[in-house]
Amino acid sequence: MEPDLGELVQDMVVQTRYDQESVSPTFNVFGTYDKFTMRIDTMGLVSTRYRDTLLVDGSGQDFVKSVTRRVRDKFLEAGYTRVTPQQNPDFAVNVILLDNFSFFQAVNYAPFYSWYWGYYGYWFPYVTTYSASYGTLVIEVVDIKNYAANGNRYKVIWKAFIGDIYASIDRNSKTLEAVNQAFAQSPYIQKD
Amino acid sequence: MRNFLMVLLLMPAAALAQPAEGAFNLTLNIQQPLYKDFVGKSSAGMRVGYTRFSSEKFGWGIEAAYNTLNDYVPRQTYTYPGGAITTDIFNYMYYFTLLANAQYYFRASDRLVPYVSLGAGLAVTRYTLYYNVYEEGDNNRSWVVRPETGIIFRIRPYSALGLKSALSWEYAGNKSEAYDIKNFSALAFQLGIVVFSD
Repeated sequence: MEPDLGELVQDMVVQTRYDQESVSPTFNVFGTYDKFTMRIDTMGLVSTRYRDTLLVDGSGQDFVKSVTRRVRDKFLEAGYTRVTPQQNPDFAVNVILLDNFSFFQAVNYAPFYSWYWGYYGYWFPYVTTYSASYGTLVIEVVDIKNYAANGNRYKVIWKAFIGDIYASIDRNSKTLEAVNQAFAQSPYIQKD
Repeated sequence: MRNFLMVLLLMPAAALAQPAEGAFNLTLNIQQPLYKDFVGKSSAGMRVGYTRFSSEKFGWGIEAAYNTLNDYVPRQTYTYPGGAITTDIFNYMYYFTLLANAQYYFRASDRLVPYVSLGAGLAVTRYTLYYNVYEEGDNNRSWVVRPETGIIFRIRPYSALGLKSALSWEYAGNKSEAYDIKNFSALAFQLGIVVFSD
């Protein structure tokens, strides 16, 4: 006996995590940032089924575009300015779809990237449980400003996990609601 | 004539003087948790048991019961060091018990037998949290005690079929440290049938 799936997937689960060295009662790295860079209209794809690493909307689809633009808008609302990678951004934002991975809480990542722009430096996530046909949207903030202070590495300081993307009855609007919630429960993402 | 009346008057007593050897019972088990830690709603399950009568006053037996209890926690945000999670949750408690029990019978009439019982045994509990398509849980094996009072009603004298109604309280040592859930306690009401093996 289990709950009805239709009731279960009314709203998506939104989990956010922050680096506790970067965000603490005495220090908030987000207050020191000014500029960010991110791709819109395309999304990273990490999949156990597909070799593609980029996701774009197909004909008549609006998922990737609307989600990435909503993420961008939330950072703009927080007071940051979007710039190109060549304009010395303080942080980068990655939006990735984890396809066909199991329970998102069991997904672990290397906390550093060797490359901040795009998804080429994406370290393949380590999944501790069995594979399953779930879709999880991941939003990441990568610290560029403190690259040297972090030992010449790009540290991931904030992650949002949103799921399940596939089971949702109203995927687009529920995903956008979930993106809003990710920022609502992360009030420290705010420019001073 | 006097002898005939004596026979009639003694018949019920004679019937009671020949108790069944044992009885199977199958009852609906409506359980109401006495805490709101994990599940608070009442649940309908089943209980099945066998009693061996050692005398008119005493019996002992075993019984197994199963209930699925659940509750809904509306969508909210939980914060913790390093993050937060927002979701609604369906809490499910899959609860199976296997007890040995001893009973004491009071005689009200040849067909109506109130009793009290005390049982103790094993509780197997699975706590499961469902949220969206995800689930996680904690398995638990523990002791359980269950005092009970009830009434057995025979349809007719010597009938193999009877009815049972009972009220019990139970307490299980099945706390979950993983989810900070206390030991489970509940009231249960049973209504079902008894089949005597004379």
